[in-house]
Amino acid sequence: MRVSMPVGDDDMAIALKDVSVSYKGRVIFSNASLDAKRGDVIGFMGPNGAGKSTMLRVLAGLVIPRQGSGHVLGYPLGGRGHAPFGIMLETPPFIEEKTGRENLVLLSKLRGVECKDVHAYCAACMKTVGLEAAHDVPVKCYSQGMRKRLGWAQSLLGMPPLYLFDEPMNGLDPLGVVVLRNCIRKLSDRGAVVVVSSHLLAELERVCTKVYMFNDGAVFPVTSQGEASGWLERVYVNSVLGKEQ
Amino acid sequence: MRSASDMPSAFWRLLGFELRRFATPFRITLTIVSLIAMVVLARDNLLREMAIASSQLAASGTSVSPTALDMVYLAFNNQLISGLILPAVCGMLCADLVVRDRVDGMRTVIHCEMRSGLAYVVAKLAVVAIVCQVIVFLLIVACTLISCLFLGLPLSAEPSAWLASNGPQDSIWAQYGPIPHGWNYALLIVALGVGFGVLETVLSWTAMAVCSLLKSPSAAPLAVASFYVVAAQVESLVTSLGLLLGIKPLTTTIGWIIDRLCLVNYRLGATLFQESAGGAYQGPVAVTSDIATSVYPINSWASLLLIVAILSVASIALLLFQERRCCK
Repeated sequence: MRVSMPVGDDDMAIALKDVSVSYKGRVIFSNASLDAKRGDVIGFMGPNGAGKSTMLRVLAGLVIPRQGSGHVLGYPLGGRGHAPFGIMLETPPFIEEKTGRENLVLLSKLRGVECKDVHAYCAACMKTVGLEAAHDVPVKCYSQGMRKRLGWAQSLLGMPPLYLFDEPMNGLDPLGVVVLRNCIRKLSDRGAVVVVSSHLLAELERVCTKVYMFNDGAVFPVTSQGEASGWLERVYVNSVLGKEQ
Repeated sequence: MRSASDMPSAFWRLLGFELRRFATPFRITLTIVSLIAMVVLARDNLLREMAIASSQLAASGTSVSPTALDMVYLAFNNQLISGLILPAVCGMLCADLVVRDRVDGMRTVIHCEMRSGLAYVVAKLAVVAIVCQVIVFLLIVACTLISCLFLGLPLSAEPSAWLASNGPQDSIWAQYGPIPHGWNYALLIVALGVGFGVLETVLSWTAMAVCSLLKSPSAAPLAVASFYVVAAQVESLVTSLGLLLGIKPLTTTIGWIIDRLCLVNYRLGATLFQESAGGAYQGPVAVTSDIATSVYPINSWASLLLIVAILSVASIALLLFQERRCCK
């Protein structure tokens, strides 16, 4: 049963307020607030170890924050239930001996995807990500880029309302980056919330409707003031260097 | 698309996922090779026991009349098969089920689909139980088929006369425990199949729980195999030492590790806490008066139940603890 626990605006698909996460005594981030409407593409940027992946895990319900409140698609933070979502991990795991399609079929059954022909459905997902030629190739023969695409296909299974992508463009060739970018736009057009964590700031600029900067335990939104491209990089550098100074 | 909070459905989906991904080339090869090895050993064991029993029965003019279920019954009594190979194989098949998920990241994927750590642990336990029971019944079926098709032995609901006795006080014939008179042979084999399935399940749960502490999944089957090989030597090493040093308590052949997993060291029809068996030889055999009686120690059924209970609780507790730690 979905429990509505709005924080601020009831139309928000995601609303987190003053969320703090620590790990083994180290504060990852504190008092982080973020929100997103349906159709938003949210970007996370920041130095290594700043908490971007951790926030993705908070949104996925894999990490329970030590303080804070909010909801993700109507499900309260830290609650037992959670909205369906697709996640693309930085290094997605697969069953190496099985083919790409077999992996997707198994994972779609695990997810509970209901469709008439699951094999055809998974083949279509692989076509979406440009892996149609590798249907019946064991995953152990895949390159890093192909694994990334398969992870992307896996996240699409069931067309959930929320997508969490952790460094999705790593390992993709330029065409793959273009296809992924278009895919993210389509998901957004369909009303899904897409969250992308990436070091590729130019890509975040192109696809995101809102970007959050993670740095030194703080999380804050960054907005364009109408600058030309490259503004995210300037914000990033100023934020990181400004702290060191 | 289902919500990730629908737990009963999540459990069945996870169980299906685990069973579907269980059959890896390593596991299939190990299962086939070990079943062949156990069946070959069981057949040789049957022929050897028949030869021993034949010589014992010859004086009374009685012959050995084996049936198709004798091979599997004797396999359960053979320490190499039921005490070493069967538990080692079941353990090796299941030992890496938890550690591999943690190391390769599949645990995160599974956790994304279902929140319940309890469902995850119960699904793993269920997979092990199913696999172990299937292995035991494959052994039963393979032995029975070989007996019927290649040795031409008939199926029978009555235990063979050479395996039967008048009750729990009879002495052991060669290397197997006698079957009490009046017991239904087929039901006994089914019951032993279930019993050994439960035993192998609990031993494999323990292997899976202990190996969940390892850093490398590939080390898990090796660890299990090493444990059983070493455990198989413990009894003979310590017994030899006891004989050498004249320490009588160390010379017993029961109460160690591997012997507890083999039917020959128990007694069908014994009471729960009975720890010795034997007495006067009975049945269709003529023996000289100086070996007319023999009393020997056996493992009690209560000790087996206690071991099963302790291992079950400990392994489940360890798995739940690991799950809580993993998902913090």
